[in-house]
Amino acid sequence: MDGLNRRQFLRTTGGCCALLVGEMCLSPLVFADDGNSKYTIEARHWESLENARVRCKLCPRECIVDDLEKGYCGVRENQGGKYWSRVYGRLCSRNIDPIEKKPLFHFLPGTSAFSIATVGCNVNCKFCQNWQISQVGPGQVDEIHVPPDLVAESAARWQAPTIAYTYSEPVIFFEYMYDSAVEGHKQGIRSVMITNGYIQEQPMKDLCAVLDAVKVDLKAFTETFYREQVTGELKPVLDTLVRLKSWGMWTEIVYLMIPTLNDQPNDLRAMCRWIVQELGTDVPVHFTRYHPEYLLMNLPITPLSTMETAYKIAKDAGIHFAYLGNVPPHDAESTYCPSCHARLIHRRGFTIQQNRIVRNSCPDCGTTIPGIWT
Amino acid sequence: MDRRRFIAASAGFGTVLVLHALKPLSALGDRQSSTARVIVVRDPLALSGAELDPVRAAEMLDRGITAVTGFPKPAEAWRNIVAWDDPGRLNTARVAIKVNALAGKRMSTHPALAMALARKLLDAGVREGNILIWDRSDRELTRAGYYIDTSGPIKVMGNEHMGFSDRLYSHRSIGSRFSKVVTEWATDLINLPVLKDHGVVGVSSGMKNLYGLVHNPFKYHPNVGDPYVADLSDCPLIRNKLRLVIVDAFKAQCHGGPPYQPRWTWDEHAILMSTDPVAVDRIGWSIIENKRRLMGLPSLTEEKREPKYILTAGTLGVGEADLERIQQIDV
Repeated sequence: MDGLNRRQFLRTTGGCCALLVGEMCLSPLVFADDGNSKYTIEARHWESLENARVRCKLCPRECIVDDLEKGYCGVRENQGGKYWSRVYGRLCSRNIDPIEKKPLFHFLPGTSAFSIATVGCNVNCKFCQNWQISQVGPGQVDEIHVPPDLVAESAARWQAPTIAYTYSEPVIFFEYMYDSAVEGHKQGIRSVMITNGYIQEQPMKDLCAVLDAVKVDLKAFTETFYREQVTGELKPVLDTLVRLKSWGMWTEIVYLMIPTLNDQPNDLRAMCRWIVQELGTDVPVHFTRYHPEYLLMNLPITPLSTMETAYKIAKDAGIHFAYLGNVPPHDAESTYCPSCHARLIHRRGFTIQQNRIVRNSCPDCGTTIPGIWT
Repeated sequence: MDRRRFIAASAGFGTVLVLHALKPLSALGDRQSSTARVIVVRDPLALSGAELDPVRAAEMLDRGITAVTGFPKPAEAWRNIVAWDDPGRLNTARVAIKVNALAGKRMSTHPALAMALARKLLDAGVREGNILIWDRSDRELTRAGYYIDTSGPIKVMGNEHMGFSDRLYSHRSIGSRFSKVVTEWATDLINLPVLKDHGVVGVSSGMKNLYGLVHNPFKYHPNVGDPYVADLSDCPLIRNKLRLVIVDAFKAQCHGGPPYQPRWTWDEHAILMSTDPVAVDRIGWSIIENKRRLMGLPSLTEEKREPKYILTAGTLGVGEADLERIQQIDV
């Protein structure tokens, strides 16, 4: 495997830093004042109940929220019997990331994504890698006001062909994501959602009208894990994956491997069988490495051998595009032709060393490689 | 029994009572301990409309604290609540009073009661500037009738002034950043909630009021708040500092909470006081259930929002949840 020399490394990271610094210094974005009104918009997907209560219909949790209270996500709030999003245009994170960082490996490889997030999440994973923003409420971290048209404008300014809704859980900033995606499309900028897939059918259907790709975190393949480690449910996530497939949305799956909790080979085999059966062999599956974080600090970093076992299970099950992530340089970061096995995209971390795909196909045998390449 | 024996016996009993009162809340939570006590102080003239008479409220606090502690003199009683472990600590004690200001003027802790309590503590020897009345935000406090004061002898402010700890505290089902009021500022906590129905967790009173101490209370409402409310009350950070719970039940609400719903409120004309955070919630739950029955409402159990977190807190040893072992004393 080819290495990245020091000069290449500095050039890559220096360029990235310059981009970020430029963004921070030159951005015309307006910083937040003390008021909350500009971040507030009536939520979509909810219904009224008696006594000024509401039922949220955004995610399968279906929170019943009393007046003056917030939903489980912490960003949607009942005021006077109406349900409001408190994070519309309320960015807590923005960066220019390689699209490979999402990770999306079959979507415009080698390009940048203007990546944004608000605070909040509709689950509470004990191993959350971004809990400092996902598990807090509005106003608890530094935030800036970036309405949807400025999201699109910022992406265009930095020549990012894609807006990525990521870091926390974009389901909970549904309205902001939807409107930003609409604004992006007006300027020829695509949108991708990096999500846990814990969303009801109708809002996901609405989003699919304005999104170009979705990456779903499949956190395990047992309800027990979802109940105990995620405070969520597996089945609605599987339902989302099947729906995305049926609606023709380009989808990739990430599976964070947590030692002893979701790395049992039998569970992995069952999951891979389900993927092949319900989604087909062409959906990319990324196995990524766990690092101790948040409330799950007592487990080691995932051994590389465990990761490689998962990779082999996926390949044996017939999944064409299995990958390993958060690992030292590894052959399993690259894309190979499922027919002739030629290496088509040579990756090193988030960097593309070589992309040999021509007109969506393998240049050696002509096999069509699924994905969105241009 | 002759006079000498009577005095000896009653003195011994008094000593037991005083020692009991001086135990920290964590010690009182032992289920093997003697009966938990909840003092209910009533004054039908204290509340007139929405206005609470501050003089009558202060007098009720004194009546209650002497019953809680067994000390006949209120100043002595207050001193032994704050610095129960070391009277010399009174000079440096910093007392945070957690009110509940969520639901506006009509269903929040009365400012007159909070201020009366703060003045009692000043009179008892806590230094000026070392008493803080606080809740989640200036906005909610102001809406409930409090005046924000960040530098006076009795500080009144929302949590945003001190913020939340950088450190994440993990205990059983709880993983939260805690208010710096608790982690850095206060040596002693007094919980001063209201008594009301809660649409999700059944009852919102003392232990539920502690949700205002963490950055992510919205994560702790599933399963009728069980075991989250109990686990939060069991956190050492709280158990080691919580000295007293005083429930503002001048006006209470038995349905439709947490917002103010006038058709389900009534004037209870009472404060409930205890060093046992579970026992006082258990009595509060009974009061709400009784009122619901009188109003023809189904019980909380029938509505599938029985506040079982109170029972869980009892199991954890935070306090006494068994009504048979709780002595309600009306004074």
